[in-house]
Amino acid sequence: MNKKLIILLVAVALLSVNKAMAWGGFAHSAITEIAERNLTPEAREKIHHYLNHSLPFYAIWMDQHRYTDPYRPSGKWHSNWMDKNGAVDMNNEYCAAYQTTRVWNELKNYKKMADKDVKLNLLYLIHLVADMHCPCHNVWPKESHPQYRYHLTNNKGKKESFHKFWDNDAILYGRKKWTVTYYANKMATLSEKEIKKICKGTPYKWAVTSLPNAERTFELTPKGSNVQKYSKADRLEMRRISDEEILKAGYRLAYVMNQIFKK
Amino acid sequence: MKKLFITLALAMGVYTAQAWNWVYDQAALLLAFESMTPEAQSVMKQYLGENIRQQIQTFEQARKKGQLLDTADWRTVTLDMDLKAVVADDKNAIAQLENAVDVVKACASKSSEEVAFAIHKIIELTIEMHNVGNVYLEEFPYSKEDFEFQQSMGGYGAKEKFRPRKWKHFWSYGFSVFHSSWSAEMHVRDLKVCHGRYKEQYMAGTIRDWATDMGKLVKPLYAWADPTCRLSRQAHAEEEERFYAGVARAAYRIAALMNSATK
Repeated sequence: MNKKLIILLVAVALLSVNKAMAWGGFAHSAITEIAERNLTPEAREKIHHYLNHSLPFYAIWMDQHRYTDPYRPSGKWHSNWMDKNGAVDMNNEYCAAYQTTRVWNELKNYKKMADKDVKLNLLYLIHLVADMHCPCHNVWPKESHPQYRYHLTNNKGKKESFHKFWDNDAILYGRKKWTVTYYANKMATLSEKEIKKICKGTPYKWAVTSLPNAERTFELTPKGSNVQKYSKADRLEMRRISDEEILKAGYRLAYVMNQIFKK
Repeated sequence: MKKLFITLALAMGVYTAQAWNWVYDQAALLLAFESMTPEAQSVMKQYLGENIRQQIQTFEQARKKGQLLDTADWRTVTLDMDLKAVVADDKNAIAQLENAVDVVKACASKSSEEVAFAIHKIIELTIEMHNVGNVYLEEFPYSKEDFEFQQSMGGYGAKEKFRPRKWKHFWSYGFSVFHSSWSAEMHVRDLKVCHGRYKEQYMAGTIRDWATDMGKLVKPLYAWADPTCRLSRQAHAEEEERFYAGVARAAYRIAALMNSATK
């Protein structure tokens, strides 16, 4: 291989490694950071005891372990599943809202559980509450909706992942240099009354109220659409949808944790 | 050819500017400053600047210009078969740190530039000697050279893909991928949650004792010194605890050195 080509390949490799590093888990970190800030002192102390870290440290733990025994079954819990009528399916054990409810109920008895089991369930909760609010983590029957695994394109005609776009790119539009701390400082400024309103209900109801935003993703980013040609207004709406869900997830995660550890 | 070099320079530039490992250095310095006596904080402010943020920036600029280290050897520590520090000359972190502490202790008879440089050395070399990749064990002669192992890379898909990874690069850059959007303050909070209770333990002893402590932390890792050794996604995530243990030790030990030098 000639020398010029080797130099160019090294440059491309460096850029690609860098890019992969830069996009890891912004939304998950933001959700857990908002939650961490809204924990009661009592809940925070107990959570730090069980986790030996703050909540954001474990934001992507379920992703890191989804294909590893003995956690492999949890790999299917990351989305909300709809039944044939289009309703959130609380009879489906893979459904994120179902698992959130189950884990929450289990943790109500945390005092009788072994520390390692409390920790494992907290790790699940940290990720599940976040994922159930992700606009592209809702799966409807094929007959009624597009499947979220479809692809978008870019100016070069290459495939872009719909999932990755909504997981990362939609949130970070115009915010490439934002840290999670800056995001939480700027965005998580709701009043106590607003937070109370957001936290009212159950995981099932939370999942239901997020569905309109999820449905909107199919309209804003239809199959094969060019990610580099979306209008500014659409990009801002995509970002608003992501922000809305991140905030709801962050406050609700804190609420769930505070409820569990209030005694 | 000129264009190729420009491409390479740009690639390297972007890579350096977003070298996420810097955030860990920042976090170590912030936590160190918090842990210093008022006298030590005052001396740091006098020689490096009033504002700790400005100090970090000054430090970073000097580092980028190559003004801090004349030789790569200054960053390293070598340990014998009993994990005792080998200090045959001044080409190692231990001798350089001991010298820097002496300079700060005698600050009244030294020029401002000499004292500022000594404080910079205390910060940077304490951080460097707590980087796993800079701890050499005579028992494993190859530890001084870089070596390769296989690391799981390429996201969170069902099938792990293993690629060769350089040992030293891994310990400098291999963990920022998990928290790429965190601020230094988030790391400081987390370091305090998981290591704050060991603060006194980490700060006790001499620089040579600290080198031995790092040797114990690093020794089991040399089982990786095999091009066929595979580090799975899960093992990579678990190793972050060891990486964090190095960052926390560095932070508290910078404070210990500054405290003793300004007593």
